[in-house]
Amino acid sequence: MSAVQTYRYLGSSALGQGGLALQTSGGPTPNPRFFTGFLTTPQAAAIGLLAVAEVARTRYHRPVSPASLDPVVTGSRDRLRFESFSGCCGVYARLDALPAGLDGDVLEHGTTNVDVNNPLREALARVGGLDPLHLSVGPDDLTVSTMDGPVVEKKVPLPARWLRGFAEVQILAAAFEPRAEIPATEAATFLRRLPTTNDRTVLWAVPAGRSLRLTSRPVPGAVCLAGPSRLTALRGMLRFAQTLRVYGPTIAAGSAPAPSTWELDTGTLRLSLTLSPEPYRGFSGEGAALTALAGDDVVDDANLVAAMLSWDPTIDVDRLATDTNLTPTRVRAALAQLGTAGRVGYDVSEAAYFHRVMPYDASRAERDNPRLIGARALLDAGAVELDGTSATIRSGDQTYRVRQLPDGDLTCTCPWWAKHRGQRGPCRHALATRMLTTDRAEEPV
Amino acid sequence: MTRAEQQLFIKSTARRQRELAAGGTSDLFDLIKNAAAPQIAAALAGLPEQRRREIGNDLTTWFKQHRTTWWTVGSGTALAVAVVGCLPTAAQAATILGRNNVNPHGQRAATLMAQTAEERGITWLGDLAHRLATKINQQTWTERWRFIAALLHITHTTPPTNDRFVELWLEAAALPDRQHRSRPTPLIDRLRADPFLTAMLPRLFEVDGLGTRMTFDEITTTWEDRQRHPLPTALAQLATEGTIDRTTLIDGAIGRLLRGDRAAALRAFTILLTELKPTTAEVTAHTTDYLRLLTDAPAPVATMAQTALRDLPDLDIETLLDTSRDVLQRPDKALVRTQLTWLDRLARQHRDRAAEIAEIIAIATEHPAIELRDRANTLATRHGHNPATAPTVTRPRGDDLPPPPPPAPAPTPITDIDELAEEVATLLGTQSQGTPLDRILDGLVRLTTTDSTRVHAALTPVIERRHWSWGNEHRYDPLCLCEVVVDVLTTAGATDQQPRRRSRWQALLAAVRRTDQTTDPRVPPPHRLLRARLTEIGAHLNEPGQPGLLATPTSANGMLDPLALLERLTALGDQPAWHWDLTQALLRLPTDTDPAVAGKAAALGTPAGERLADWLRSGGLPQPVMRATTVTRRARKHGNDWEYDQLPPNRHLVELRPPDGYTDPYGLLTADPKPLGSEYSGWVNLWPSILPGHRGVIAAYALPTVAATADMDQRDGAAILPLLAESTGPGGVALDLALAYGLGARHGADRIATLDALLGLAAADQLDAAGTGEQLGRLVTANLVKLSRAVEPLRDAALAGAPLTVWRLLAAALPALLAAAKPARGVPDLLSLAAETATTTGVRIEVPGLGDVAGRGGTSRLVTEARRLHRAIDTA
Repeated sequence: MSAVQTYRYLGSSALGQGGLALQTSGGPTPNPRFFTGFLTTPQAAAIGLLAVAEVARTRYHRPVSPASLDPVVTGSRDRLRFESFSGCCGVYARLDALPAGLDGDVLEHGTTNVDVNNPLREALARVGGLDPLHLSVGPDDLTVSTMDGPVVEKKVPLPARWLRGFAEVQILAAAFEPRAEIPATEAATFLRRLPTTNDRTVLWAVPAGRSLRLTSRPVPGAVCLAGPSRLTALRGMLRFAQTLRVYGPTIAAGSAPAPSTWELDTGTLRLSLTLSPEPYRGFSGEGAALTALAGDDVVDDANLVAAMLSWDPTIDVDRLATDTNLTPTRVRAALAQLGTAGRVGYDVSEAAYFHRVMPYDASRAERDNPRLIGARALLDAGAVELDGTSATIRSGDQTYRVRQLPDGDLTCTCPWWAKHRGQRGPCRHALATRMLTTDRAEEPV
Repeated sequence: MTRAEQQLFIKSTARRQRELAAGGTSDLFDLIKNAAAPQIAAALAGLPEQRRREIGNDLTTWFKQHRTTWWTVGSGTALAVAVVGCLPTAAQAATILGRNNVNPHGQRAATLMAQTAEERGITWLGDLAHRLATKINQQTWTERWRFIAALLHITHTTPPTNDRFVELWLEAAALPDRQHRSRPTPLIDRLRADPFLTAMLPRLFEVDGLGTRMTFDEITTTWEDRQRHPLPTALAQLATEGTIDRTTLIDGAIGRLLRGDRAAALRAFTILLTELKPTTAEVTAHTTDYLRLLTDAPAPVATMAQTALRDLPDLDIETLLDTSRDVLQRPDKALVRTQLTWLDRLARQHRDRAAEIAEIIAIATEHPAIELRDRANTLATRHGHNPATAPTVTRPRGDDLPPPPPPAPAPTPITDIDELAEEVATLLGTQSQGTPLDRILDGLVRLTTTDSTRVHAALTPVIERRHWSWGNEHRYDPLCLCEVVVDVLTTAGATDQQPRRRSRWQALLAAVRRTDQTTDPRVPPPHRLLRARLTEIGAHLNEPGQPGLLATPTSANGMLDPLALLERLTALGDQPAWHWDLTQALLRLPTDTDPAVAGKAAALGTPAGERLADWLRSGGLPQPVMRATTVTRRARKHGNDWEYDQLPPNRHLVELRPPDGYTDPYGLLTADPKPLGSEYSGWVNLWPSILPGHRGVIAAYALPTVAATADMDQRDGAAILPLLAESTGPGGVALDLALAYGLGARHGADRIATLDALLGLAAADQLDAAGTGEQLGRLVTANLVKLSRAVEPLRDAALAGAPLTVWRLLAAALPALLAAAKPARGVPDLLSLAAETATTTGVRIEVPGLGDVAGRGGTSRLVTEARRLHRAIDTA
């Protein structure tokens, strides 16, 4: 069910006398224009853009053929966010041009694709000097009105798992906490020592002194670093960064590999990479949003919340709660739901969601998750048999047992669950059980 | 030969033509199968178009039945000729010839196809070539590409320039077609004649990762006699001759280097640029690009850029200084050193700006490499920069490690049958890799006693779904427990074939008892104990009234609380305790048990209670006597002995003997070092919890596995070291050796595991730093461990808060290293780390032999660093 994405740019993005002109395609209008003004730190911004573009065109796991999707840019009220997602679905990159890094006008809000081509990459690598660089995101009026330039059209495959993964990162990141902050010099030493070759080891990083230290086993306070070579895209930015911040979920002794975010901050820009728990694991299969999707109750809340979003750089949950008359918990659930549809992103350094509507048709992607389909098929076949807090599922000639833990989570005896132990969300048997229990609970009402 | 096959050759062309014209397909399909392409061409000659189309339909139908056939060079060619001769359109022809399993012989097929097309009078051959070329994908191989290329060439069609086509063009260039087994034409001559070169050339710089395929070697006569990277060389040569455009090459290569790629892929372009030898004018035109490469590109590219820029006569000083600021902060030592020399030269040439230049040079005084800091200091001072930094006075400090956390409690026991099933599913769900078994076994025994039917019902499907690696005993691995573990799980609650099962388990148990003392030499005693326990559990599993296992640990490291054992024995009452279970329980008791427990145990009045009391009173299992020995490699076998070549010349291992007066009933303290080549897999990680109070004993048994990470480049062997750090008891020489080997492990993850162990032991004050250092020195001097690998984890240890431990370790390692006739690689780095830690800690430790080296003349790095350390010790 892989769709095709068609980019239609009014011209190629270019860096010339007039500054950096990025061409756009899709989003609120066919070729929206978001920003015109200056980048205050041109060299760092250029390197950051290159890093985002590099992630977009890379497959870190099994690099057979390069990926070819373009990065997306979101124009919020006071900042620009460039995002990309690797072809292997395991690395998510974002460059935030903060208010201090921009000097100009945000003309329109929304999210769109930006064209990145070879000559532009060369030109970006050449950017030097300290003078502010003019940046325009979107075609200027002249280009739009004349329309005589050659239209650049690219057709690239848009796999459902790529879409799903892109959305899934946001849900996972919402559970991250800052774990370490180290100065630039130490960060450079630490990152430069990591292997650059394709390496599949799962290591852990713990704060040690002013720097980070790698350790072989998970300990409280550690951050998982899986496939360290995937952080190479950060290297160029090291020269400009002031600090490296690392974010991750709570880790205890014996924890399974977990995702993590590595963020370089230059004061005007923030470049962050989010890595999947293991190089072979794409974010698409992490299943963080499956439970929410199994029911339909959140959908109404989500629609209500979506109507209230207004391209804020960060979403204030409490204010939304007041505006919508929902509890903050329900607003958060609704935002997670919107995240799966690609309609909000999550910024770990602000610890807040931000409004961003992906310029793809992403709404179906998560609903068509293979596990959800499998769970529905099990229910249709009447394979689930509840007994108290447990259930027996007969699928084909196999029997599985699903058990409810005191904290409400479900466990299963299937090989998939045995392999991941809930790390990648519920299995189809647990999902089917959850759906059936919810249905039963609602019926008597 | 069958009659039909004979007929193939007997039938004349005239007869075949007659038959084809009359209707049907004559023996056309046989001809295709028998690769008779010329005969087909001849038979089709002059056939009316109507008949060709009819035959074409038959051909399509026939081909569909042979879709999965592999069409060889011969039959493929014949098929191609028939297709061109009969099918109506290029699109239809492409559906047959576009398949990756059809591989006609390139040049021959193209010629025959062109002849057939001309004779038939069709014009779509070029269209067909184009269609085939666009259908190329990842599965297309070079031979097929040659066919398509020949067809494109003969029809004068423009080749496509998609990534895969370019890749295949390159592959075909790397592997010349050696039809006549003669000496192949050199690559440069082939390129000269290549019709696609102009079209492909710009794409070489655009396709990502293509650089890795551009650095192939050309092998002309023998394997050893090869020309390195002939492609970049040939391209540079062709540019000099004027065959291809020099500017395209230079711009393309620089553009590629700017855009970046994997370091390995950039090598080809660096070579190309070096071979092209850009003139001063050309470098000047690209000055900005070269400066950018010098700052940002990987080290080899940056070095190339540095060389090119240094030769420029009139480089703007301002720009150069700006760039130097970033270059001097790069970690690459050689690059920074050259940059310093360059700046030094510049300062001497421009006296007026020397101070400004010196200020830039001073940036390198913060470089991580100490020799560069020194150099930068000297140069900056020479040119008039006065470092404002007063010599930093830091208070000497020792180790500053967080205290080790108390031993983690063991996970809560399994109480629910479904939970047991999940745990078993997890255990059996992946390849066996040494997951602890105690919790599952304990739950299994307890739950089987109470509800055997449900346990059986819950486990059966889970066992059925197990990972294939749990299928049977792996003979190559003497430690493998897969079969016995699965057997135990299957036996739980099983009601069928009871007598057979029982007798089998009894036989196995008897075998354990019989081979109590002398057994399979490859299996070390702790593992034998584990197997004996498993067998015992299998034999007694379905007996009623079992309150659970006695030996289940109460700590995560395997320790068992004596009071908990006492409680379990009380609960057992008059039932006899299982022999091996109790044995394991006793081995897990701590050595410093309250004597009152022994009294209480004796008061139970059961044989098991007596045994516990005796054990506690006698002080349990004593610590062994250890002796380090060297095991040498076996003799080379006749013929190709590949295994021999993997083995290190020798290995330092440990021999265990019981202390005087101890009989060692279980053989746990008697072990001779294992011969080389007997390293173990993941099951080793179960051992620390078998003897949690005998760190050294387990270290001795696991030593071959740990050593193999360093001397046989194996993976994950050092994972046991952090577990040992959590055990208790003296480590002795076995642990020292294990740590020394682990520091020199081939793979980063193993060195990190060693570092974890080192820090854990140091925090608990249980590390013999001097002993470990001494062993490291010995192993490096004997050429068994690479010192350069050990520097990094040791530096990390010093940074993580253990500078004193590292300094002690180094001080013990250095005498042997300095005494060696030829100092090992990495000794200077070790010396500078030693100087750093000595300064940090302010602890004075004499290093024998250091004075001699420091007193030598010259300015070699070894001597410089030795002097530095000497000074550091003197000031301490």
